[in-house]
Amino acid sequence: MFRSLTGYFSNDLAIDLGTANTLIYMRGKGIVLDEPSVVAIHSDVPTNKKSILAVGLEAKRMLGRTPGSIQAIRPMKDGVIADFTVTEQMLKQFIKKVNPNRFFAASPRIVICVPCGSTQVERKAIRDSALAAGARRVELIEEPMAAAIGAGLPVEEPTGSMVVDIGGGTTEVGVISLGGVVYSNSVRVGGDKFDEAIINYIRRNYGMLIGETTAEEIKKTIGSAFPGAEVREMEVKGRNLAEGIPRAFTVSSNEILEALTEPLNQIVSAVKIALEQTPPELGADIADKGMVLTGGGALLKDIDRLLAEETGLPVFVAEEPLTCVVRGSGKALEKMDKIGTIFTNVP
Amino acid sequence: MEQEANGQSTRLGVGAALKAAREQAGMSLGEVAERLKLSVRQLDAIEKDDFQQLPGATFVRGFVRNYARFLKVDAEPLMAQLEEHFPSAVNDVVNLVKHDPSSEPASMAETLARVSSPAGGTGKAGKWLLLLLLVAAVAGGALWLAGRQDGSAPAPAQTLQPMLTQQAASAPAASAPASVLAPAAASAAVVAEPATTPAVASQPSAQPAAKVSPAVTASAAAALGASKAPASAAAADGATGHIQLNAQQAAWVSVIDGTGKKLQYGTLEAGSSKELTGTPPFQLKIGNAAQVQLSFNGQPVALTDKIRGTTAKIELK
Repeated sequence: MFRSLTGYFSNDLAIDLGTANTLIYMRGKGIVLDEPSVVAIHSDVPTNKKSILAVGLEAKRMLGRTPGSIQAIRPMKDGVIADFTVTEQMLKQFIKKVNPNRFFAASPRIVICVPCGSTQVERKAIRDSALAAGARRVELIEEPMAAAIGAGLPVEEPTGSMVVDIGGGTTEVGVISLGGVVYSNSVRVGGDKFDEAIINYIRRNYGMLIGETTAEEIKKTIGSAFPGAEVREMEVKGRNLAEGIPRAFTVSSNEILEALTEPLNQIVSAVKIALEQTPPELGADIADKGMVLTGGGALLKDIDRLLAEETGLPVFVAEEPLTCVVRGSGKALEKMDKIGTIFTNVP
Repeated sequence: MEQEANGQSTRLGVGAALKAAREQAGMSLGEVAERLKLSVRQLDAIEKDDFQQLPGATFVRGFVRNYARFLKVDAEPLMAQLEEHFPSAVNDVVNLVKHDPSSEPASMAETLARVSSPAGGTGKAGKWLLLLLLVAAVAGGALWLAGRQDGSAPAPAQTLQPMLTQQAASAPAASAPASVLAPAAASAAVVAEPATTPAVASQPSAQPAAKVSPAVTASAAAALGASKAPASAAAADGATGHIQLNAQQAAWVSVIDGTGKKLQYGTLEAGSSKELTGTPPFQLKIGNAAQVQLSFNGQPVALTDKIRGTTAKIELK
């Protein structure tokens, strides 16, 4: 009884706990937080005591630029929790940020999304860390479902919709009909793998070492998934492996395309496998409507073109792909009391 | 909002604009279909603005955007035109990104201070304080009840009652605070006195308590009147918008002015009228709107064409 009473004062949240970014939607308010999933930890050497220095944007600025006593960590890897305690702390800080202490501060109900390929153990870890961060109740929603709702696909109708969510750590392919996931597949390829591929390519071909942040910058500026008419160039600074001295050099969009071929092929094959596994009636619907791309990876230039050419189906990028998943979870949260079927049942 | 005015004409523009761009580029529907992987039937439907043929709002928007991008046409104006009939999924849920960079802690010292201080402490203390207050309130109430029972046995407490009602009648506007004040004062006095001599002690102490209340009511009434007068005067002086509402039947009305203040939020009784002043623009919601007459700055405003069901929503500027 007391719990239902306190529920009246709590702000329910929907969280997209992503590898790259964490977004929080607050019931009735909209998206209230959009920050990188990075935590900076300060460890005091004499006492061996660790404390959180910064989370989010501020911590991301420290990535790769920290002295010995500070560690900037990305606690999520491949869409799942890699460091349980740090993730829990990060969630706590984020929740506190959007839910400033009020007199009637009650613990919120939280909808949180999980990659469809995550194991039961990984799901339990996410659930537990949300509970430890102060949630009263936790509902899990599969990412393809949240992405489809956020992209505005007719998920509750008896028609097949296909969504490809290319996140920081994973790419989720889902076929949805009648409010349920008919087929889903998750490959651990995403924005991070793109960055990694760029780093490796540049080390191999230029003998230069660049950091993750620089690689991300290259990807965002001149990265593309399909050969275009214009070739763009960018000046990059890195450390020359042979000389051991920082140097500047120029890379072109064609080289980055070559570097990205391998991770992109994995995404393409995941999509093709999904199409193979889809029941024929739903396949017909998808042939008519095509597939929708969401997530940060959808912003890679011409990735829709690549998938369209590879599958021969219409492909388009959802509007505001970065916030699709959290908006979808938010919509599920708003309807939580009416529909329960879209949440996954986990122990 | 501005699309409402030119809704029909612009709607016809989307397909025509794309068709013109395609013809200018010298491409056939087949070539476009080959490139976009859409069927010729679907492209034809887009160019004819026959969007019912297409699967739904999200797809209409996606296809049109892809088509426009392929033809190197700026998709944004087309999207804006589609917004009215095929709203973007983005606007489905309230989408307020409240990312405020100024809220970021400026220095590392600040960050450290924030992290090291036990932030949960204040919230917990607040909860304990609330609990303490609750306990205090319950204890106080019980004590008051006990005191009243003690005092009601002898006569004086009963003589207090008619006195109170007399005063209440003399100042009806402030009767509620008076009657609340008086027994509270009386009971406080009763509780304060030792219970050994209740009959003797409570009579004189109750008397002055009751005598206090007329003064209280009088001053309260005066204060009420005084506060009312300057308020209305000030409103008339700085008035930028003036609304008059006449209700023939009871109607629920909400009026919110430009500063977000609720000027009116409740039911107007049948036959009553209400004058409101505030800063425009006003957001009005009127239930049972057929029975309400509205005038704004002296000009009557017709509600009939704003009524949906029985409710009218209107904005006055």
